[in-house]
Amino acid sequence: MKKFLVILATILLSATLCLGALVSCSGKKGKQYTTTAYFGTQTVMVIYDGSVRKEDEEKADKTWQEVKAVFAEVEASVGRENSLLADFNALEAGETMETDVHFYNLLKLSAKIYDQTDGAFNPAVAPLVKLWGFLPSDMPFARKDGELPSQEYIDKLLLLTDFSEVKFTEAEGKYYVTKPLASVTIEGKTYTAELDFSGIGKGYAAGLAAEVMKEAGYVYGYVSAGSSSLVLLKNFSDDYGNGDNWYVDLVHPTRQDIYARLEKNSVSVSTSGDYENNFLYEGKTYSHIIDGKSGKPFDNDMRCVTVVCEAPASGDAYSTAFCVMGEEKTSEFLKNHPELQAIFVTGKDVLQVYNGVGAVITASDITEK
Amino acid sequence: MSLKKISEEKQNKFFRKKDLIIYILVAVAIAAVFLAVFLSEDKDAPENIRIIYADEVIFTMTIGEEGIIYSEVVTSEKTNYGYRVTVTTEKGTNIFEVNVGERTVTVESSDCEGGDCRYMKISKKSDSIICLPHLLRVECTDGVNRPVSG
Repeated sequence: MKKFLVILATILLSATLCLGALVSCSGKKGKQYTTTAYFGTQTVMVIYDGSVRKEDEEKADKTWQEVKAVFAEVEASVGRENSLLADFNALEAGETMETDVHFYNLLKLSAKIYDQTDGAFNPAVAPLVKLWGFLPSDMPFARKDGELPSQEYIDKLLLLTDFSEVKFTEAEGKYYVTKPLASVTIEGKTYTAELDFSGIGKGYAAGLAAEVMKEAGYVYGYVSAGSSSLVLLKNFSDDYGNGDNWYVDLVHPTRQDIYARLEKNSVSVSTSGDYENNFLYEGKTYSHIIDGKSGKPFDNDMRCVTVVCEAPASGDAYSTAFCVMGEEKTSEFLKNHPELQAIFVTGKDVLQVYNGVGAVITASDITEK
Repeated sequence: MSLKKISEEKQNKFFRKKDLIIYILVAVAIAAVFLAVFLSEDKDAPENIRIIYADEVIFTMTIGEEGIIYSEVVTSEKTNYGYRVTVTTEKGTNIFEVNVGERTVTVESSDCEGGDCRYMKISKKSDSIICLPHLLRVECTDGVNRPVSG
């Protein structure tokens, strides 16, 4: 009997030790949630809290619902359709409407970056984005396939793109925005200023979502809105990174392979470029990122820009602005902004790496300047 | 009780040499069985994949089973090695090969500009295939996808 008990104990102990070894060897598995319901792109939340208890599964599910609620709230504020922004765009010149805290925050931040970049980041270029066919519109003279818009329309709509004329105020917890007085009449119809926050909205929403995750107690994970706005917490597995740092692959704008890898945590990574939404005309690529001074898609050597910084909404806006500014002005700007790190690919496939972004170049034919 | 009996009882301990050898052999046998099971499974091989076009999920599949088609731009046919999944959109055509035995996904062909997605492969859960000109992405839904920017 004693021997039987000892043998049984040996079997149970061995089995327990083996099972424990297997569990610890199986690697840390995070949980990933995705949806394509917001901003016309895929939202991803990844978290890890080292536990498999049921109540922690419930906590993860609850946090995801809260993250989705944040995205829904921001989209209802500054999304293109059925939003406060759509209501603003439909106002008459000079009219005022009440808005919400998200709209107000984005106006405030956009105004700051508009000034800093001398108009390179400009949410008021929406009429021109429509003229060039990158947004749906009822403009009968909007660009059609196989042609470019006429300079006459570009010049007229440029009169509506002074973002400094958009006035916004906050009083007793309420927020108001006033449309600029400028208007132009083209072919019998009157057009007024309109805004588009697609160059900053996703980064703003992703930033809020990351705060929700942190408030829920998560230390490890990330959240992204499309592949252009990414907010990293810490990494949790050697499968995905190095220590606390995530490996973030940067996709080449034309070759679609991975040309570089960042190792980062607790920052935002935002990328803009001419590769996703564009058209080709007589051998030249025309991007959806409009230069508010010329009224045309930006025209320089920049192909894509990735900005790494602590403020997701700002990173989103700066990556758009740097495309318009071009290499030289961006380099000068970055010298005065050590809080920003950037990596950009220019037409000559030369990588510009600034302020110690620390990218690992993985494509053998890319040179680092 | 005789002295001989007492002596035999004293020797009848848990850890007689012969018994100890048996206990060790049992423990080793159990460990060997667990190790064999553990090493024979590729825990990182993809199990569930999906194809995303313009940020909409258009196809999902548990490798080894018929996939689920969510859009008319996708067709799927059984082949000797698994499945051939064809995606034809206004952007162009990509043909993916899902190899059930190897548990991999590769690009059989693509008419995208550059065609570099043809060299991408999914062989573990953290891999993905990206065809930016065609706004296509193939990824695993088992675990976590590594963050990508661009």
